[in-house]
Amino acid sequence: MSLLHALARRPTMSVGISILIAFTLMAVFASGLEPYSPVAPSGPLFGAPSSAHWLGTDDAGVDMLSLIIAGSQNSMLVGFAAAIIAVLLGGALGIISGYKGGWSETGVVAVTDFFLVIPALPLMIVLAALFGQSIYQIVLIIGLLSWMSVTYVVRALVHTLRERGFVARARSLGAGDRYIIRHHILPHVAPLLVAQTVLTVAAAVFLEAALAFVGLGDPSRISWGTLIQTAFDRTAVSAGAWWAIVPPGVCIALVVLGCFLTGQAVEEAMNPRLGHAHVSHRSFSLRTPTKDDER
Amino acid sequence: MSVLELDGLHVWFAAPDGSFAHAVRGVDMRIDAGERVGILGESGCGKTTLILAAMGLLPSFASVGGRVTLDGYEVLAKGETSAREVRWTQAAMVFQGAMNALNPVRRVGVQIADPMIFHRQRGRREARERTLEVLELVGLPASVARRYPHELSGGMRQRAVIAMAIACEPRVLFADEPTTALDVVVQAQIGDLLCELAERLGLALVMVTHDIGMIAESSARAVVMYAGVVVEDGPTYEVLTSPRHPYTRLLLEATPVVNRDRPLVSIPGVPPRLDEPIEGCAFAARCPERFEACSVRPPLLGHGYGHGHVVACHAVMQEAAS
Amino acid sequence: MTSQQPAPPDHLLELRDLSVHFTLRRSFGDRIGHRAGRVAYAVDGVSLFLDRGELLALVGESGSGKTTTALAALRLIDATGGSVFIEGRDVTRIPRSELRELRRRAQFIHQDPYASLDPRLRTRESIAEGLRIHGMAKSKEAERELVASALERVGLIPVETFVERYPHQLSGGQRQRVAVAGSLVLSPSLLIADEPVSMLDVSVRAGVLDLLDRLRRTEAVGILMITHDLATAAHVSDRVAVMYHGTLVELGTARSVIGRPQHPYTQVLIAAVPSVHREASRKRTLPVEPPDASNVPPGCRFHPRCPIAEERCKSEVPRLLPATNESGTTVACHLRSAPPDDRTPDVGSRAHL
Repeated sequence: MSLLHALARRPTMSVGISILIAFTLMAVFASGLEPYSPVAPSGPLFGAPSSAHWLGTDDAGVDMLSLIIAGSQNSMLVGFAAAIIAVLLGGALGIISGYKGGWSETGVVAVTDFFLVIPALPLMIVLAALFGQSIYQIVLIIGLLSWMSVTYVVRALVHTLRERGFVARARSLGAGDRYIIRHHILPHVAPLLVAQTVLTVAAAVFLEAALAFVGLGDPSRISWGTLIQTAFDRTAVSAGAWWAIVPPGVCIALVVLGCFLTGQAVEEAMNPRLGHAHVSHRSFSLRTPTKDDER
Repeated sequence: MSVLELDGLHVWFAAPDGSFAHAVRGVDMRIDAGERVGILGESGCGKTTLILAAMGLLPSFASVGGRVTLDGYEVLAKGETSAREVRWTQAAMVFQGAMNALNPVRRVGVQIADPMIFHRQRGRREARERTLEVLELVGLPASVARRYPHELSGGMRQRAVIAMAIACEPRVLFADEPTTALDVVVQAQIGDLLCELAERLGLALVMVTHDIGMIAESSARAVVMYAGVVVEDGPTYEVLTSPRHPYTRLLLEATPVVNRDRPLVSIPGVPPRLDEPIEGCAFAARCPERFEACSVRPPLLGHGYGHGHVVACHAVMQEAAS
Repeated sequence: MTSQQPAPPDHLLELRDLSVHFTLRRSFGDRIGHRAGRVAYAVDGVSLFLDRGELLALVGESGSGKTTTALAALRLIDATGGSVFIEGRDVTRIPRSELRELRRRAQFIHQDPYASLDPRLRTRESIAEGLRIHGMAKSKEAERELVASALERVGLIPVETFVERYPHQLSGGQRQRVAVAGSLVLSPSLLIADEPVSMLDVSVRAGVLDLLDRLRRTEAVGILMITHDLATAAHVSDRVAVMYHGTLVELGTARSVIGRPQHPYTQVLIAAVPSVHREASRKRTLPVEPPDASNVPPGCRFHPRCPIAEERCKSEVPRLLPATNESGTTVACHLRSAPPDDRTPDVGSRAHL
């Protein structure tokens, strides 16, 4: 469809999605890609990057590159899973409140505002401390605290969709709310949900790292966040072992970048007019008519 | 002495897939001071693009060829830079739906005074005085200056927009569908106002519309456009009562008019695509009078009959020659 | 005014004293002063009827309430007073659950063909939408046939060229025909068309108008056409109803209403239609701006702008009564339907062509 065509042409999309695909593949095929074991030592303690260990080793002599690759599994998993929960919840609330209006809308908006006001990270910290630190709980906590902006954005779109001519026509043909939501609202909201999912992945990956850094990550699993946390705990800084801290951070940054580029590309493709607004600094160009142009 | 001259004007629009739509395909036109010209055509014929090009108001994906001369000054010589010199001070425009584009959070008087101050024509106090002047010219009470747009009716807002356009005393006033969103009675009033202004201020008025009634009442000269070219150009009365070009004729027959008893005609087919080269006359495919020459060579505007009445049609030229 | 008696069975559509009043949000001043919010009398006591095979044009300017009347007639918005009878049933009183059946038998053609079709759906899907909502097609084959037949009836042939197209591949006129096909496929008895051609190019209007004209003859539907353009009304309608400010001011055959308008407002409307011949004298201006729907003057609503208003007009609301010129039209004007007064001057003149 034309949306995909528009997407394929954008460099931001290609770069963004390439990054994401790369890391996803890394996560999926982790065990096959790890050059060494991510649990057993295979080199010197805090060994600097060398030809044998491209990213050096950590304080226990475990190869950093293998740790990064192993960590990608959990980081990406948390990212995508939490994002899906957030977008499903936020999307559903956004559609219902945007379409129905009235008391349902007022109620949803109140709840959304409530959650928005709560500082998410401190709350996550409290919840994680209270209810445990398994990866599933982390996913749930992040997901349940990331849906609010999705709701608002979807609600705004549904407001405009509700007023579109083809919805009025469907209603005059006798369609009920369920039909209209299923056949006219959802299909038009879908691209936005895709963009929102991608953007939420970025937030979720980052939040996972934050939680892990504070010591509330899943201790039984390796993730980029736990890598950073361990490195700090094991005095990598004073040992000057930047290779234990920087690579996980760079991975997180790259995934976030990839998500933003992809999300932005999807949003621009959905709304082509963002490209050339009237207040653009570029104006029309001059061209000499050729023989062929003479009528 | 013509105040506005278009010479071989072409406009192309680039599409996302790299192709070009040739929206205006070589238009020549001369308009004198004080003339009231109506450009008539249906959607897609290029009439709006034409006047936007004349003011250099095209977006970044447009390219323009040819020359636009305003009072001797070449508007498009340096693209946006040269166009900006004359914009509003020499040539102004009342845009389509402008009455709905007034800034809702600023008072009307301020918005009218804005262009004057921006173009450094007047200081604040003078601009305020001139604002009251133009409000009177368009038939609005002075109190309107202190109102906000939503407090005015559609007709009043349209008058305010016209006031804004004449504030800097331009030589040419373009109007794009100035009455479409208005009631029939208000339409007549606005049409009258535009004519009056043209006379009083010596403005050249170029009105773009698909409404034949508007042309009939408010312009002395009618220019008919189809698929990016001018097909007929002459005194309004002549063009509308004895149209020469087959398209003009069919268009008039398709227009419902009160108190006419014969059935309406609709023109079969659709206008040609502008992203593909057009061989010969653009109307040939739908024209009841077409013959071989029509699909080979595009017809040029030539004198068919009458005083200042030109037509671009092989059939008409052939008949005139015989 | 509630109406418990059934409508006479011969009218396809009958509006009886239909009213739609909107209560506007109370301003802060209102709340403090404990005043009720202002009411916009968008439609105030409109009565008319329409039969099968007829095309009635409901003419009026923007703000006259004509679109609101149409929406209320199909219960797409709720009426606040009066009744609407469609095929004998009072649709303003039926429970919501029976509305779906109504939606099948009475269809609404929307004004904007560029907005009323979902850009993601192909032609055949847009047309089949009604079938799917009402579960009318037993199989994909049956659906395809019904869609093809509808396309033929609206003149979009050859059918194969159009079924798979998306709206952006269709012209305005074609889109409007698709919208009509989408309604026809449900075999309605009543079609209400809201400004069906106002957004189309002049050269294609005739085609769509002809289509409507043909449909009401061949498909035995009744069509109520909303328009602000008297010329359009003149060309295809049998009867014309003129609305001003929420009420009907004149109702009669197209020939009479347009040829010999009786109500001063109708006369001004006709005179304001532009003409090629500048010799035609035109009464263009009406004194005083049109008021808004929440500011209803007492007596005849038109009296502040009426050139022939008398004392009586300022206090007494005129009823729709047969015109004194015995043309068969009914007109709501004290001076045109009262016992004949030969000295009443004619206001404005018709456009000649």
